[in-house]
Amino acid sequence: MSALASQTINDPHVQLRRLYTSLLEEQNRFDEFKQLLALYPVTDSDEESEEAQSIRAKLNARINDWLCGHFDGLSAAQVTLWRSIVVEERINVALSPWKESNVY
Amino acid sequence: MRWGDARPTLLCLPSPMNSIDALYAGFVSTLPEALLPLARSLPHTLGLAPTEQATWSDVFSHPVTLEAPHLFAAAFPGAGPEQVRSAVLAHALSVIEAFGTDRIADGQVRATTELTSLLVELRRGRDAILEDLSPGLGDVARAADRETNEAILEENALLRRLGAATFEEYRRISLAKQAVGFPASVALARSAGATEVEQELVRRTLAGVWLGLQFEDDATDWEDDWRRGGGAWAVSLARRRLESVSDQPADERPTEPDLVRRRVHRMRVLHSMLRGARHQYRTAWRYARVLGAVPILRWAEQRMKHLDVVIPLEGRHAGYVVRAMKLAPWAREILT
Repeated sequence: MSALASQTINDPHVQLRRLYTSLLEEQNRFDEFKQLLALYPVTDSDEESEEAQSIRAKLNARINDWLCGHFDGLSAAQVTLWRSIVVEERINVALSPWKESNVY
Repeated sequence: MRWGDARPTLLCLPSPMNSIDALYAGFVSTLPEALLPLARSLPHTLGLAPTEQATWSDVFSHPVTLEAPHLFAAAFPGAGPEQVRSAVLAHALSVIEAFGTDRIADGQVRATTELTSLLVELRRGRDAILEDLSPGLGDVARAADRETNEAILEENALLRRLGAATFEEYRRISLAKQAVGFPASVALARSAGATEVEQELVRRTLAGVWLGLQFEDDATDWEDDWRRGGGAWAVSLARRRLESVSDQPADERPTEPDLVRRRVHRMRVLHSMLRGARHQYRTAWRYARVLGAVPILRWAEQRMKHLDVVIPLEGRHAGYVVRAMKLAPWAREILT
């Protein structure tokens, strides 16, 4: 693998885009992703509980499978953000979800 | 009714007129005192906005949805700014009223006395403007109300019993539902001296616009429609297609969400709906070109360009368009 290719694969933004594409392309992945996110407990505490860590580890392992490796893993903050969008459908509510046929 | 709505990113329309919010505010100021709070927060009351402060321009990002006559104005140099403003307001009142009626019909909103009175005022205001703009168009608008309402009832009945539907039925009912979206633009054309042929071109252009938006929206939002319990076109179209390939009635009533989704995906109806939308935009583009309605032509081009990207993806990955919609807020936050 060239240095450039390696650099690209390690780019977190590229990794997230690959995850996004992978979810768009496969309903089963999208469903499983959503189910695991729904299991992730949300608390006010800054500390991630053991249970949350374990679910996040499982989620990251599944993403790694889907992307055939080269995925550094979602942080606790990223999982929370994904959860609020995919499960609770409430992120950015002032801008988008109630609009019809938003840009996709 | 879904006056579908995706913000065009490249299209920049000239806007020499007051904003739709200013026009609506002007109309509201003519209403009886008791109706003012409801009229001002109507987008919220109809479940189209999360806050009472949201305005109509916040709700609909397609200029064509509430301002269709404005987009035709370029084709009719005889139409003065005041005529255009009147036609836009009449059109907006029609669409808003139809939204209210639809939300009541499908049970999403309760028909309170106040709301019913406000809908009457919206119709009354619209009819007065249209009559002033082009005598006789008030009657046309009232006939359009009836056509839209009947189509809404027919749609609700068909979808709720999970009836199998052909694309031709889908197109027919959808077009009838959009009847209220025509009179104001026709009134503007007529007031500007348009010929019968030109008025017909306006109707055909709008038919393409409204059907394109409707098909696109019904494909994207079908899971939400289904979840609300009123059925969904994608499900009824899939059922018809399943019957035609299996040569027997698909008369079971699947209620398990995954099963319904699998059927919709397997029958590739979302792909067909998006292709139908693209065809309608192409129709709108063709007639807009003949008319010289450049803003609509450009808008239709943008929609076609967008669908040219999405349709192959939906073809390869069934349900792509729905998942893309669900992930859109994340993509906007993180990937842009």
